[in-house]
Order: sequence, then C-alpha cells, then structure tokens
Amino acid sequence: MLEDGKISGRQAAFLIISTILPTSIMLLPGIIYQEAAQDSWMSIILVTFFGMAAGLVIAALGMRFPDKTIVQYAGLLTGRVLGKAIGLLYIVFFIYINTFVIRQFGELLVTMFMPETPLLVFLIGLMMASAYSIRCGLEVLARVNEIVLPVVLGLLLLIVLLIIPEMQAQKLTPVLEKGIVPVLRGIYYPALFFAETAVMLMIIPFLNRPRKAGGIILKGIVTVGLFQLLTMLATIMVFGPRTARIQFPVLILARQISIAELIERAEPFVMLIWVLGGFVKVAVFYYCAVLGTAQLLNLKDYKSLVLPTGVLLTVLSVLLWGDVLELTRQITKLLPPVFIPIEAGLPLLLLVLARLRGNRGGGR
Amino acid sequence: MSRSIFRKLLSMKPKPDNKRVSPARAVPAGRDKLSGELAADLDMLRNVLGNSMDLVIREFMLCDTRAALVYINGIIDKEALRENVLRALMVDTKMVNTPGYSSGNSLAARVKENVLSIANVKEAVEIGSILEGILGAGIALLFEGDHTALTLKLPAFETRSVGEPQTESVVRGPREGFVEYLYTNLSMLRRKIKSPDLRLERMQVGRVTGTDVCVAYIKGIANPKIVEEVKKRLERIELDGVLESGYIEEFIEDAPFSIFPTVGNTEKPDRVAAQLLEGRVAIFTDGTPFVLTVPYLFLESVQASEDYYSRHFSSSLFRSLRILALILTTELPALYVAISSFNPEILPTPLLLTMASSREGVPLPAIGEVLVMGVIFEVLREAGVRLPRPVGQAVSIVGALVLGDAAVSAGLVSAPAVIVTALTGIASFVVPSQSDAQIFIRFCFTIMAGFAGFFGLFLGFALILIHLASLRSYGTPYLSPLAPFSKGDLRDTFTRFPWWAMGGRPRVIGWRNPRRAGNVSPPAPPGDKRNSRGEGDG
Repeated sequence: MLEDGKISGRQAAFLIISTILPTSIMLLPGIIYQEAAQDSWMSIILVTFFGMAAGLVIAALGMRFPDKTIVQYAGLLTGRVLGKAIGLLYIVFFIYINTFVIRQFGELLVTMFMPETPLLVFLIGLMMASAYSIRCGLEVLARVNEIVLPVVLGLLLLIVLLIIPEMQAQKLTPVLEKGIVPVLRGIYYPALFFAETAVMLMIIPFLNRPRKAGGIILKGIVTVGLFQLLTMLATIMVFGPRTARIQFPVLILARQISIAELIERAEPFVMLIWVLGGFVKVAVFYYCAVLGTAQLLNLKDYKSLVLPTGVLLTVLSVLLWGDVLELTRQITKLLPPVFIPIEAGLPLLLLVLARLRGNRGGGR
Repeated sequence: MSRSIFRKLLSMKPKPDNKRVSPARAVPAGRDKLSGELAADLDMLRNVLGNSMDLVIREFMLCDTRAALVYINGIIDKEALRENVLRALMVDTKMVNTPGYSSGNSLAARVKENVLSIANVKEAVEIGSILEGILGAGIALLFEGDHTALTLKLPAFETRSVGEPQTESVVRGPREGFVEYLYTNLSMLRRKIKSPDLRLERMQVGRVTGTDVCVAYIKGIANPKIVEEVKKRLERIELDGVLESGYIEEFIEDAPFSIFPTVGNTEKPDRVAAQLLEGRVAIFTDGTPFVLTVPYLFLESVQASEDYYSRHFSSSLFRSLRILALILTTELPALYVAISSFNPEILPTPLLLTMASSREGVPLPAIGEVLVMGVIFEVLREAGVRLPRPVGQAVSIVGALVLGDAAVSAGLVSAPAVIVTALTGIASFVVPSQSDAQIFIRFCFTIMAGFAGFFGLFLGFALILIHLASLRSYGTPYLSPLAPFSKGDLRDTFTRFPWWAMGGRPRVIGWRNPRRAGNVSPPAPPGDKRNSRGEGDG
C-alpha cells in the first residue's frame, strides 16, 4: 500500500469540513449575494442539499470499492485505457483546483494584510507546510486537522458572536422579492464548493470503516452548510446590499468588531482561520494529486512526488493568472461548468456503470 | 536529508568489538572456572582485579579446611560480615560436620545450608560470576579443594537519604523523592504498589560500568508489546558507561531528532506509581534519582502530580493556566514583533500611542530588541543555575537593575520589550518538562514573525503542529488524546475531573485494562438515593 495509515470517521468528516469551509466562507457570501440578494441564505440551504446528494453519489461509488481509490477502480469499470484517462483527469483536476486555492490564499494575504510583501513568500510558506504534512502521511494530516478545525470553527463562531450588536434583522426583508429564480441561480456557483467532497474518492479506502463513508460525508456537508448559513446571515444582516461588492466579507466583518474599546479589530483571527484552514485545504488536494499520480504510475512510494508536485503547484498558481481580477473572473465564470461535472457528474456516471455491470471490487 | 548524512557519519565509526556486559571478559581464556586450589584461585582473583588497594582477602580455617573471604572494602556491610559470616564460620562451625545436620555434598553447599545466616547466598562456579558478586557489593567465600564458591550479597555503602525532590516540589502530596541507589528506589515503589502484578525486571547496561537497570510495569495493565519494545531497545544499547538515565533516554527515544521529549522523567515515586497504574512502563537506572517513563505524551507536560491531590476545580484551573503559560512563553515575543512591526493598527488606539511613544528613539527594530533581551535572559538564567549561591544576589542586581532598568532609561530597549521578555521568561518556568522545546520554538517563532508578521507566526505554529502530530512515543501518538481524539480521555487533559468521574483508564495507553475503578458514583449525603444506586457513568 502507498499509504498505510487509517483515519477514523471523525477525522474524515473533519477533513471534509476543512476541505470546503475555509475558502467557501471567505469567497461565497459576496458572490451568492450578487445573484440572490437578501435571500442568499436560502440558496445555501438548497446547495447544502445538492452537496449531500453529490456526497452520497461519491460515497456510493467509493463503497463499492472500499479498498481502492478512483484512480485504481476507474480502470475496472471502463477498461484500462479509459480508466487511466479518468485517473489522469482527476489528478489534473486536483492540481488545477488547488492552484486556484493557493493563488486565492496568497492574494487575500497580500491585498488585505501585507500589501508590501511579495506573493511568493506566502505561497512558498504555505506549500512548505503542506508538503511537510503530506510527507508525514494522511494520518498526520488528519491529526493536525483535528486540532486546527476546532480552532477555526471556534474563531468563526466568536467573530459572528461579537458582531451581533451590528446586525439588523430587517436587512433580510423583503423575502423572495423577485421570486424563487434568483435563489436557484445562487446555487450554481457554490455548488462547485459543496461538491468538493470529491476528495473522498481518494480517501475512502483509508477510512477505518469505509462502509460508513456515506454518513461521514453527510455529517461533513451539513456542518459546512450550517457554518456557511451562519456567516451568510451575519454578512447580510450587517452589510445589507453592500455585501455584493465586498470581496472577503468575513474579514470585513471582523474589522467591524468593536467591544468595549478593548477588542477593536479581530483581523488576526481571520488570518489564523485563513492560514490554518487554507493550509489543510491545500494539503488535502495536494495529497490527492500526489497519491493519485503515484497510483497511476504504479509507484511504491508517493514521497518522491511531493516536492515536484509542490513546485509545480506553486509555479502554476503564480503563472496562470496575471492579477486578482483575472483570477476572480475565471473562478466565477470558468470553474463551475468544468469542475462540477468532474466532481459530481463523472462519479454519477461511473456509479450507474458500476450498477449496470454489477461490479463489486470489494473482494479484491 | 540531514538525518541521512548523520546516519552516514555514524556508520563510519568503527564498530565496538565487545558486546557482552560482564566482568568475565577480564578472565584469561581457558581458566574461567575455579580450580579448587585455593591459593591459585585467590591469585587469579587478585590478578584479574589488578591487586586493587581496596580488595580484601581474608584466609581462615573452617574446621580443618582452608577457606578465604574476598570482598571490596567500603561497599559491604562489615557488621553483618563480622556477626553473621565470620563468627559463624570460625566459631559455630561444629555442625558443618555433624552428620544429622549436613545435607548436600560439597562443603560450599553445607556451609550455605547450615552456617550462614545471610539471606542472599548463591553458589558460583565460574570466576566471572564470582567477580560479579564481589563487584556488586558482595563477599565471595572460597574453599580449599572445592570447585564451588559462595557469593553473599551484603551491600552497605554511603547513600543520600531520601529527601524532597528539587525539581518537582509540591504544596500538597508526598515529599519523598528517589535517591541514587536503585534498590531504595524500588522499595519506595513497592511500598506504594502492594500488588503481586508489579513486575521489576533487571537488566545490565554499560559494558564497563555494568549499570543495573530495572524495567517496572504492572502486568495486566501495561501493554506487553510496549514492555517488549522497551526491553528490546534497552538490549540494543552498546555503550561503555551509563551514568545517568539521560544516557539511556537518548538510546530508547522514538524521535532523536525532535526538540520534543518522547520519554518522560520524574524523581517522585508517587508519580511513577501513577504512571504505572495508567499502563505505562518505568525504567529505573542505578545511580540517578531520575526515572524514565514511556510512553510520554505531550499533554503530560502540563499535568502535575499535585493536580490529582488537590481539589479538582483548582487543578483544572491551574492546568488551563499552564497551557496559557506554554502559549505565552512560545508566542508572546513573536506576537510583539508581529504587532509592532507589521500590524500596529490592531491595538486599541490608547495602547498603540503608549507603545509608540516608548518605542520612540530606540535604535533596534522590535525583532532585534526581543531577540537580544531573550538571549540576555537565557544567559542570566543559565548563570543563575550554575553559580554558587552567594553570588546569586549580584547576578540578580545586574540582571534586574543594570540590564532592565538602565537599558530602558538609556533608551536602548523599549519598556514593552522588557515586559514581554520578563513575562516570557517567567512563563517558561511553568512547564519545565518542555523547557528545551520552548526556547527553540520561541526564537524560531520570533524570527519568523520578524520576516512575515502574523503570517510567519501562524505558519510556524502550523509547522510545529504538523511535527507534533507526526511524533509517536512507543506507538502512541504524541498529541493524543487530542489528536487522534479520544472523548473519554479528555476528562484528564485540560481539566481534571473528580476521581469518581474518572473510572476509565486513559484509553490511549491503558486500553488493555480499561477500568480502574468499580462502579463509581459521586459522594452523596446519607439517605440520598444516589448512594444506593451505586452506578456512575465512568
């Protein structure tokens, strides 16, 4: 086995939350608000259901092959050549989506915290931490996340709690001003994030009880949905229509906090959420890419791939986009139609195929 | 990378030729058994021991046979030698030849059975084992014409009396600490755990020193795999001398290249007993009061033995304080640097103004101030540990007045930097078992914060966290029970639940025997129905 570690259901659920939450709470509120305005919170509830459905498809597929990753079992379902192609597609997907995350990570730090520091400093720092954790294996990443995630969620709750005095509930009205259509349109983009449970296609074989994968994914998605809903509501109630123009609403929320002239600006908290959460998110995708490549090439050990992949990710994330505007445009326009089919569509197709062929790879 | 280079360097070292730990090495080949000729055997012993000045050989007549006592002056009990050995052998020996009394054939066996009123007597045939007996605080008894000798263990040498340990002082709890003599230490442990399941297994480590090492565990609670692993690692040690348990620690720890200790040490018997009861294994080393315990987990460093003796509210509170101190001592200087050089705007305005005015005119940047003051503090601390006591006052005057006060009033260092350094220094004494790691982390974090502000600090935090998560101590993850998370064990980490609520042994270590209490229930006034139910949640 390339990876001898096993992770518990709790650790897996935590990993799912960390894979989706850090970037989604930072980016989504503004983008959803552009579509669904004050009803954005309904979009989030709906997209959570979509995420649950996608997660169940992924879990159902993974549980048919409880000891294999998608790179390994795609060949069993579709034949050798097509299987390798699907494996490669997922590896490219994991790398490509990760470059977006990495660049976004750096851009936020540069624009909001340290405008004079070069972007590469942040990217290299982040990749160092991710590469180190991956070299230590999935178990270590899962353990780190078990400590990181409660901190991240706790700080998020703290920010929302401290901002309560600034909230105005009437900013949520009128409800469904323009009918249900904007709410539905608001699902489109966040669906990309809520289907990121696709990483489980690579991680299910390392669960200590792969049969529980479905429940684990549901737990993860529901938690993400709850926190997303909370931040969305807080953002709408504090900023109202201004939300649409704010790039990183949670950060601006934290800046608004002022309690007894003692806690003035909680920005370092946001940075802690962003650095720790972002690092785990990047590491999970990074791990999937490295492990998938090793399996595709039938290597004995994935550790030799960690450094080259890391360099590739760093370089790509710098070279692919000239500036933030280009990055943001690509994220909103290009990504959903390309990535949602890979995250949820292809697994569904493979699941149908597996059902038709009656393939159960569990015994092997 | 550095590890593999280090390994290569290590393997270039010439291999040690001799593995066995035994005085038998000194015996010429072919003459490793007693010849039965007393004079020749004594010569042999004298030669092997190099005619040492403290070697005593006393020849006498046992009835009509020549016999000799061999011992080393100063390490045996002379009183017992006079009363129970010499007197018996020279005066009360009539019964040796009395037919009804004697059993066994050789003279040695008869003497052992009938004459010697000493408990620990062994028959020895080989010169090696006789030498071992003599050097291990015993007396050898040789007889003319007999191929068997007797070794009597009669240790008596100057030892320090049991006192209060210097490193772990307590307000409430036992005040006795281990001493340098192994058997006194073992007796202290036996006195605490009167169970036949307490296992004490003797090993010898050190090719020249032949140091006695004892592996202690409780059968049925400790994980046999860990016990085996400990013994295996101890057997692998090839070293001339073991003078302190630190020598052993470096050979048996899991992560020799980590700044974090993966083997615990303590000089308190009550602490060792508690560790054994949780399923750990203790390693006693002769010649040092410091006993090693494995597996050692990160959170043990914030647990004091006193936590379990004082009331659980205060224990829980103090544990949280210790964790706070651990965070302060590692991160405060870095935070100061990050805030004052990168993000001063996050401070409330009045505080910001105060800080800015005190920083005015200071030549060094914040990171320079904090690093210089940090190094000065470490120097003062190290000086304080080493110097003779009367000089101490001078050091504290120089440290506090000259370096602190004068530096600030001369405008070399800002007052906040001095406050930060002082607070950091004080906080570093709260969790002494992680003191090495604390210093490294503090300086690394400070430098990283100097380069990249909060990002550097958080990145450093993430790196340390990954490192901690990757460590294991004898198979147990170092960060457990936090990661991997274990709900039941959380009762005894940040808080200390009352004893009646901690019926379960810590699962990560003592999982083989998960319950340490019967049905426990909180105490209740007489007549309360909870008393009769007799059930707790554990």
